[in-house]
Amino acid sequence: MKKAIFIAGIFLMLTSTLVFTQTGSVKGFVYDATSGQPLALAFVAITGFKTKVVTDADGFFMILKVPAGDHLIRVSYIGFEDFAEIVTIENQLMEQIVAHLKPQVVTLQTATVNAERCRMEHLNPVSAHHITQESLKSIPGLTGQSDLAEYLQVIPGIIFTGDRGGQFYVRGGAPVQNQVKLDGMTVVNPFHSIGFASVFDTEIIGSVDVYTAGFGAKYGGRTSSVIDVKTRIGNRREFKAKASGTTFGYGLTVEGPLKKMTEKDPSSISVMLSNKGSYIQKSAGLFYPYLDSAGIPFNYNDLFGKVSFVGRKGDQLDLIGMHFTDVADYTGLIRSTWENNGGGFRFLVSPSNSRLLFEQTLFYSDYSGKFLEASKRPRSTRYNSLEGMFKVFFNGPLFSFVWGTEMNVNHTKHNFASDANLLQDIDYYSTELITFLDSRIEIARLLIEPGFRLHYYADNAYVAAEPRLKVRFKINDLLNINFATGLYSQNLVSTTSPEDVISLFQGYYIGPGFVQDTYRDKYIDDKISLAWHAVCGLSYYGPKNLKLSVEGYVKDYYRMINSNRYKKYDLILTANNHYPDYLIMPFIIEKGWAYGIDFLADWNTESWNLYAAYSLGYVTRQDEFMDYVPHFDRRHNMNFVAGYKLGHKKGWELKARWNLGSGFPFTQSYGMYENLVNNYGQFSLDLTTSGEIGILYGPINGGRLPWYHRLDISLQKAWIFRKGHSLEVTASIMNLYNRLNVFYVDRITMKRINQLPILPTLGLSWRI
Amino acid sequence: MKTIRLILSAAILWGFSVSCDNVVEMFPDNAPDTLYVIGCLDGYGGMQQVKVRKLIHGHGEGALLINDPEYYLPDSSTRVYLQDPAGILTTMNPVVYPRQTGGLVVQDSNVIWQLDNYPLIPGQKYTLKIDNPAMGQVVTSTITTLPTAAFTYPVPASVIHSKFKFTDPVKPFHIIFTPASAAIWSISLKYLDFMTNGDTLFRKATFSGQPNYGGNSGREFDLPYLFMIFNRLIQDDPKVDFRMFYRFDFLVWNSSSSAKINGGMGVFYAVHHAVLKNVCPMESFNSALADSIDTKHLKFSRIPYNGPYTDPDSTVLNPFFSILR
Repeated sequence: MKKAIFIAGIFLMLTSTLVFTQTGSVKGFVYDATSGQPLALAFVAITGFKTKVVTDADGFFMILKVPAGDHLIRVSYIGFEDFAEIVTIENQLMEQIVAHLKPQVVTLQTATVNAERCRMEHLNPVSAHHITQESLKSIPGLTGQSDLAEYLQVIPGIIFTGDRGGQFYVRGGAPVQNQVKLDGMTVVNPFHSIGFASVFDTEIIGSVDVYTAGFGAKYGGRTSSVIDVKTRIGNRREFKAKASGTTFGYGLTVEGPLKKMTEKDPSSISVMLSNKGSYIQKSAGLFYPYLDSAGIPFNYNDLFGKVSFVGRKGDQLDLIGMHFTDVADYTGLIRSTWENNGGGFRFLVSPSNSRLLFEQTLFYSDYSGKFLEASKRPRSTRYNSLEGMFKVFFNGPLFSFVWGTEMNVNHTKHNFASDANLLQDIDYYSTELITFLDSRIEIARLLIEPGFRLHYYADNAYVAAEPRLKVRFKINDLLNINFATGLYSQNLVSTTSPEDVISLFQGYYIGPGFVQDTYRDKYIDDKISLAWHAVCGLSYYGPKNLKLSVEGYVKDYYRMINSNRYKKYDLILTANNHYPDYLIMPFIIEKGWAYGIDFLADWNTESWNLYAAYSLGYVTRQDEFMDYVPHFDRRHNMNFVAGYKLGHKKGWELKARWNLGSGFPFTQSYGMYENLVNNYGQFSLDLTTSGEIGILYGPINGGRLPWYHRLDISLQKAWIFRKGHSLEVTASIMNLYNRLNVFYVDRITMKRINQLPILPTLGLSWRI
Repeated sequence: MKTIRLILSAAILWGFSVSCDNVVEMFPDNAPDTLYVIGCLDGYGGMQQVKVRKLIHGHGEGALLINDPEYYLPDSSTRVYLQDPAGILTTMNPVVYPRQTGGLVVQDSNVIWQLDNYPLIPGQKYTLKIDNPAMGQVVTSTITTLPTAAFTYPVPASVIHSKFKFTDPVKPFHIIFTPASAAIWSISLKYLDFMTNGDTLFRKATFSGQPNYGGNSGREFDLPYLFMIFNRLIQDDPKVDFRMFYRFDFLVWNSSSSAKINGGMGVFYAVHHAVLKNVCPMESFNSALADSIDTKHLKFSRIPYNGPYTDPDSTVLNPFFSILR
């Protein structure tokens, strides 16, 4: 008997061991049940097991090595009811579920705040800013509509150079060094001539990830920063629309299902169309008669369309199209126009039984701009590119990775009048081949994200090998220490002069030609801009939703290609004259450093939203001859944002933003004189004739403009009607105390033109 | 209480609006009074000229400042001397010219220090000396004069009665000049625009380049190159009914040399140039210009213009000034 029990025991042990070694996996997508939007960072767990994973930006999750058998899968997301489903896991097989979570009665603010806590738990926040539609709306909307361009201005480390034609400079990087993506497609010029409008309609934005330094290997081709905009998919259950009109412009968003998502059949086809634009050039005369004669001569129109096919199991195909236009028209003086057209597709699939998620994108975009100045020949620029990318995601609990390969064919054509008023064309094609691996490893309190990128630039026959690394160490549940570093490269060059504080014309160039060959007597073989970043900081996410962070950064732009301020001779006329490169070539090689420290404090309650950011930054450049500070080297930059909800059911919202920035550098005039020498150094024979007024410049950027400060406020009231209809009225005042911030001073007439004065705006929006 | 809050808020806003210095300092604080000198030694003629002014860095509107007599040294204390290679010092004479016209710098006190009949010896050193006791400044500068520039082909005397073949693909039209160091040549297209409203306009457009032919002292003009120049200089204009081509002018400009002004600011330079006016192409060029796919859009007639021509740029010799027209 004893022998029989012993044998039975052995059999059970063996069978139980066999049972427990039989494992399968489960994966799936998590969506908002009302709109069908993917839910990022939702928790997915199996009852009775410790394993807990979170969904990625597409709502995708995967749990591996689940013992075979029936299990209860629970999906939870703050602001939504829990989702639970019994799933039968079979040995060696991959089960697939699609979870639709129903919204809970919870305030939006709480949901947003808790989602932020979840992000802090799972991601390394170093130099990373995740912006949701709700956070975009926390800034006073100067045009009566919130805009990404306004939000970016309050992010620590980002410097914005002005209300009119201002540009964004991120931790010492020029606009051309910022990579801007729209659903994976490069948008080479994402900001309109008027400083507080981007091409992105806030209504279509799902999320925006801004990396001000130390970004991972999946991004590249730029040496400073990344702005990654992801749009929502159109509503998969019902048609929705929003129409708005303000004293500045208009907006219209329509979305809805062509094939509706239902409980039984979660597949859908949805569409989303957006159009926004401005009529401020015409309306300024009516609403702002006190403006100077130039008024606000900016017009833009942005069209965006997206059709999304979502399969039963969450596979997704997005077709995207865009058409953005911009006009700045100072009649008789300057007329700048540009348009950006593009489109393509994004396909997301996780085949049955596969542990991987695949993403394929293909986009074509075409940017072209023209610039007309009185008495000068027109300039034009074109940048068009075909971008194809294939990515593979593996998302495990302790280890995950994304591997990708990419091919871009870029073309730039720049047409401009040379110093001798001859037309010159710079026309170049280039191919880029890229492969990268970004990984994520969690070991106890340590989160390590090593990455590597190989970027081949065919125009230079140059391979950039770029290691990247991010590390986060959790000191305790509230406090992290974060670090990031990496090497970066780019071949795109801006033809905008570094002297232009305000530039309405954004021209682009790729290719090794027309670039200085030597830098301080050293031959430079590869005409590629290169940089190294290092960032280290502390982040605290405490009780009562208090978020604090401090980050020190350094960026070494150890090779930069910029427009050449020393260019004296025409390339066409002097080809055989053996002048030094820096006197002939349109582009020059430089080096540069950017370093500083950024502080951020953010506190949210149901009624209050308080945000403060301070940046202390230093930017230097070294060209062929000298060290200097570029015109965007703002030493101190502070932003305070406050929001307060008041009234019955918190239907009123008061928002304010105050920006204080130290003066930008500028080059003073040492003196004026009668100039009888032309740009070539060729001289007049007759001194009795009248010359032009020449300016003898002081040391480059040796002076400082006065401090900039501005207060904007807005008051918003929303009325909600039956069937989900709502009316929103927003009254804003930009530059409330009418600070006269300098725009520019004419060196000859000494006439000072200021940035925009006090501007009240009123906006109405109707949502159905 | 509400009133107090309102007053307090208004006071804070007012405080913000006026806080921080808001003045743009366009000139450095330490900019001293400085002499600004333009000196021109012209090897082509015998007249040498020097303009002596003061660098302007006052506060106010620049266009007004630059016409302030103070910046034109109205006092008579300024002395200007030119020293030749033998060391002989000649005092330059202050000549008051009529009020300047054109440009932006138009002032009544147009004093030029000049020597009227002072031919230069090529390749020799000349020194400029300026003494301004009022400002307590002495300025000097030394320059080497340039070799003579001249056309050796076509010979200037032959141009008057000759027509040149511009359409030969084997032996294109070319110019040769001396010295070899001449840096810049220019070609001017002289033509007439017959406007749709009945007006006729004399036109002259100039293109400049560097030597690349015949030992770095000449340039050939084959037809594609010439048509490229036409296209760069002449733009389509719907108001033009048709155009008639007249002649070419060629100019060779010897490399200017310039010297630093010691003790002040400005430039002291030497120039030399040669001109070949009214080079007439054979009729085959006019036909090619009218019919070529590259230039057809410019609406040139097959028939050349041979009537009287008023040179719109007759007083401008510097190619880099005329090219901006």
